[in-house]
Amino acid sequence: MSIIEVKNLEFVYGKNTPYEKKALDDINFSINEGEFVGIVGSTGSGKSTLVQHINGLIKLQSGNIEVLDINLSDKKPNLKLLRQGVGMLFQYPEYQLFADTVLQDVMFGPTNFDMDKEEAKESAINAIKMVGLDYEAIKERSPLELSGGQKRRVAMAGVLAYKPQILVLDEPTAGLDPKGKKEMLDLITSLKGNMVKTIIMVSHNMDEISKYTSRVIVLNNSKLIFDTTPADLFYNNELEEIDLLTPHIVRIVKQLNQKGFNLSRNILTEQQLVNELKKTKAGSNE
Amino acid sequence: MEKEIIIKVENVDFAYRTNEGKTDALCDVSLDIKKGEFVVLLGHNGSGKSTLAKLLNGFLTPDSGKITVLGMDTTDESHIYDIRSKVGLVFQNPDNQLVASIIEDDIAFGPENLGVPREEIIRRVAWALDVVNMSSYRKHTPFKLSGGQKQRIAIAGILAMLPEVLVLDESTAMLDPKGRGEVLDTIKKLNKEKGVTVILITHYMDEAIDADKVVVLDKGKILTCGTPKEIFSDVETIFSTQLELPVATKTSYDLRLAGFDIPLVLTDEELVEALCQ
Repeated sequence: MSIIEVKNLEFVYGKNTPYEKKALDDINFSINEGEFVGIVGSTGSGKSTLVQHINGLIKLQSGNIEVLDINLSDKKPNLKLLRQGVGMLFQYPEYQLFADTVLQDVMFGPTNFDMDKEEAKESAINAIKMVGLDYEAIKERSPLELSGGQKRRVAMAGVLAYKPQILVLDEPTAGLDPKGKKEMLDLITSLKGNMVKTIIMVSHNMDEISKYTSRVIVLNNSKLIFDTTPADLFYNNELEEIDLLTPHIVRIVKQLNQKGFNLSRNILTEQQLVNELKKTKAGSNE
Repeated sequence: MEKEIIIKVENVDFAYRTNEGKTDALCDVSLDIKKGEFVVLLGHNGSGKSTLAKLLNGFLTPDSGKITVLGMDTTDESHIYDIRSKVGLVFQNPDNQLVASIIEDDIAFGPENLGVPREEIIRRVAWALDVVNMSSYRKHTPFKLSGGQKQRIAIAGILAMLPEVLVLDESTAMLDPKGRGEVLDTIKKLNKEKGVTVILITHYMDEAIDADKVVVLDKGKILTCGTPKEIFSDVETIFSTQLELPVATKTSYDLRLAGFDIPLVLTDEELVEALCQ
């Protein structure tokens, strides 16, 4: 069932000024419930503009968007319902924490979406636990004095607490150290099974995209140029032309195949490569 | 020939002090940076990397121990302008580093403050913008640029002061692969062609592969220091600090565990070559 429908979407910044710039040009796609979609593209390709449309942060100029049965080209779409349905975790969300305590910060969302106080609190507690923080230890602390990784988790809990159906993550691992990155991606993977059905992740990290998502949308110069699986995208295209990097594992497999190996063009993780090479080796030893 | 030491860090301790007490950030750190070296600092958040970076140009001063830049002590107030013009610091978030509303003014800010003559400033602004590939934006405002573009402007602003040492504190963290590649190429070019000493703090292991020296910080101490090959061959230490191995290194390590007779490698190309033997 499609829960996001984007048709002929166009958007121009600074229309009728000397700074006029087209950010989105005739974008079409739909996303079904349960998908984990990556959105990639170089800086300025329109990714952020696109995801901001999905929960009505940018007013539609031309084209059509329907999200969770809310039609954004209506005269007065129900934006509150839309924003509760689509949880957004922006880039560097730790800079958006503001309340005196972690609990208050996480309760802000649900309270604003009209949950009563008890319900909001219960939901906040759940969300804090869900992101892997120790609720009792952290609830009364100021979010501003936590570590970077913890802050980002609190921000994530603040979004989860109002129980969105779709989660949009704008570069969720940017600026984190390798440990923080891995923890964040593991968290996202576990959310995908539990809290939210559909996840859209904007990322510059192709290694991450290839490992975690099941579908990739590629924007380039304001246009949607690919909408396919990671394996197809990375194995069947020369991405350097559009300023994206091929994931390391794919580069290794492509080079090995040029040198006479015959490895599967579905390999996207180190583990898959190691397993495949083991099979090849076992085969040649027989 | 032994290269000249440009920055000498000797037994440095540093702690942050707040109302609630003090937090140790660096403990007995000693390090020599040689002229023209490309040094990468690794370590996870809270390991003391950024603190060390800020100590190198006198932004912070050691609680005990001593840091000298070209022989000048960073605690010596009379040399602080010299030190800051020799050691340029680029931070992670470009929004915190831009000062003017027009890009060329922003880049001119540093040299203006150093008293560089106008004609020379104009030349340096043009040169710095060219190095970071942003010349066409000269008259634009930096605030409408993307994050990656802003970071290149921030770097250009530092370059315009013609520093001898460039310290980049996760300066590519907010950039896309293309922006990252461009900034890294720029840094490498400055290092190789102009002899600028580079100290790069990063979470991307890829960026450490070409370094002359890699320094791993953990809990405020230097855990290990060596060539990339030496550092990444010590897999146990890398795992214990919860850092990553480069993808090719990790794959070669796993393959060795699986009984493959190949060496530990650093790059994709080396891995392919090893497997084709």
